[in-house]
Amino acid sequence: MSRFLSISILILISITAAAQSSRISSMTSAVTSNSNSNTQQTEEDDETPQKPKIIVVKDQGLSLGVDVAPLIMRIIDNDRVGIGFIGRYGFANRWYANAEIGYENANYSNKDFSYKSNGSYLRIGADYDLFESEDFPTNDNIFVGMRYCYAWQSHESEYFRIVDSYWGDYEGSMGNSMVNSHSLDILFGLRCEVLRNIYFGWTFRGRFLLASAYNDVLAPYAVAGYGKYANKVTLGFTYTVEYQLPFNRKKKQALK
Amino acid sequence: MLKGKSKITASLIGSLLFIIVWSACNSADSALLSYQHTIQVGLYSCHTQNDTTLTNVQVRGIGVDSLLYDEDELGELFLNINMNADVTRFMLSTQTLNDEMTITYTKSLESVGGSGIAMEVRIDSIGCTNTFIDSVSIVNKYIRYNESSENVQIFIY
Repeated sequence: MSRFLSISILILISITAAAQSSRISSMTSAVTSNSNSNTQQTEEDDETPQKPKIIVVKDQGLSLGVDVAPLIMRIIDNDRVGIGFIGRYGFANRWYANAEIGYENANYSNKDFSYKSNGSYLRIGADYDLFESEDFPTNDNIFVGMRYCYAWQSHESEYFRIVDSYWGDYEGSMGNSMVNSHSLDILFGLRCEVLRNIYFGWTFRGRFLLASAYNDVLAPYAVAGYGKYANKVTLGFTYTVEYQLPFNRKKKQALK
Repeated sequence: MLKGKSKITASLIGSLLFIIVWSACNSADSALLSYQHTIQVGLYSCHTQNDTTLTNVQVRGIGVDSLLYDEDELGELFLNINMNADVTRFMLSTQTLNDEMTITYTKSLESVGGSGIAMEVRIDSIGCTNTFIDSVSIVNKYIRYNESSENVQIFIY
């Protein structure tokens, strides 16, 4: 059922991307057309005084969203489940502050080992928008950014077995213990306003595990918000659906 | 500066492809449960110090009915130690000669990449009778997961 849901989300994303692309395409055509007629007019009206060019600064308000990537990832990796929430605030032209919070539970077992973890994470950081929109007004973004991530989780192994066919197996369990981890994300991403105030966006992330502390013998199988503990660098992906709050939304205009 | 619809379109399509590739590369490994808790033993001549072999060898854990080894010729042994005890005893036989070897050790659990539990063993001492065995020497007292090195040398008369 979850696999069907994830595939449906993928299809929805594709359709939305195509629609967005089409929208931008038509906008660009319109701008190009206007630009051509403006050029002719400029030649004719060389002596008329130049009108000031308007630069539209992107919306700088607060937006809240949800990261649905963990649902998509369940198509391949059934061991982990979670969801994330994002808050984004444009505090200066091209600069956005971000906070992300979420949870991730891991369940992993086979006949000789079981592992269970309940974890949460908090990420904070900033994005810089590379996307210049002088030709047409748009709130779309192409980001590079960075996040610091702190994750905390409790985990346990309800049973494990060390197989020995000669002397007999060794069996045991390990109770709940805590894991605290720190990691750093370097990201590249895109964000498109698909409807008024509604944004879809994704980021690719390189994740670097800075430190992880656990009290017991048991090492974490997966660190919440990071990925497999055994990998000191992982690749991450987020797909967010965001709503930009209409309050305090400023469309600044400047004269060149 | 980046601008234009083509970059956005290409990036969106690329992202979907990337998800598939990324997911395939980051899927969970299967369990790593090939636990090692065997002592690697080499056989050497006490006269020349060179490696040697034993013929018509039988090795049995004391307290277990089945044989660990029953071979015509052996140059090295891999001895499973009992994970549920701190001492393991073996009876080694060659031809008609028998020797008993006693291994004392300390165990500790270790996590294997977050996907399994293994036992780390430290050999504390080894004693043996001296019918055909001259002496025993510990060359590497630690038995760790995914490490392979000779732990013990047995010198034969």
